[in-house]
Amino acid sequence: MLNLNPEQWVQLYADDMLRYALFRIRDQNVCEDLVQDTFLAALKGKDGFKGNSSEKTWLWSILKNKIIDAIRKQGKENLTYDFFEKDIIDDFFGSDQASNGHWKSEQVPKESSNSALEKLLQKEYIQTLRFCIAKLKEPQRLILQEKYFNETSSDEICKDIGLSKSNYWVIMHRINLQLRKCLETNWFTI
Amino acid sequence: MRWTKFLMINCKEATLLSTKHVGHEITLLERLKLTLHNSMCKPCKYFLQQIKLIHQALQSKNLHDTVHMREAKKKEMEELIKNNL
Repeated sequence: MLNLNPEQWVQLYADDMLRYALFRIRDQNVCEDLVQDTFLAALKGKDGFKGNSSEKTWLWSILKNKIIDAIRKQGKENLTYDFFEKDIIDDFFGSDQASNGHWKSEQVPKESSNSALEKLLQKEYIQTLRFCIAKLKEPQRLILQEKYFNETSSDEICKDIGLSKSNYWVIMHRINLQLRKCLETNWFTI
Repeated sequence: MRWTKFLMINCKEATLLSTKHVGHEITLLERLKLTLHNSMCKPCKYFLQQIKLIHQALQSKNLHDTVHMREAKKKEMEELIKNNL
């Protein structure tokens, strides 16, 4: 086997692969099984590994496909980018003439205390953020995963998934509105 | 005055510009519009302050490092791999 060390895969990659999968699929058990499936598929296909990419990149490419298959199987979520569906931005801002583009009264951001803000970065409290990410839909979670887990630049993300820059910002806008609201409800004002 | 009208934006636009600001991809003109709006609009000021922190939290190692695969599952996988080598 060319540069492959299957005995070390679990120690080297299992946690990272699990964290990666959790951005897209909420259930940890399902994600753990996906990681396992990935390792087994990799063993089966190890002769196809030509060493053109690193072992890690190769395993990740298999995992990515497993994740997409799993999302498809769940069938609930749309993997395509449908900009015609009812825009969640309209849940936040008025659209009639009088209130056009202004915060709806129940959505107005409240001031947060400094201590609540500082706590958000601490280990014990960051679970709330993970809970809020899990409530997002696709393709928002895909973009968060690319941006913050893979540290991909916005230009690369757009190129990879065929997104215009303005649509990228629309999606980021939606992410920020929803994450902030979710954290405020569950956190900031506590 | 016409120039003030040109710089005026609503909250929906301001929060989009805040998003670009946090992503470090805001133009000078957009930044001017955002600053002007936020100087008059407290909720949008809070919005920017809070999403800046969310951005930091998303980048923080803590967000990821607290998740681990169950040890039992790891053992199970190591066995499986051994048996399939």
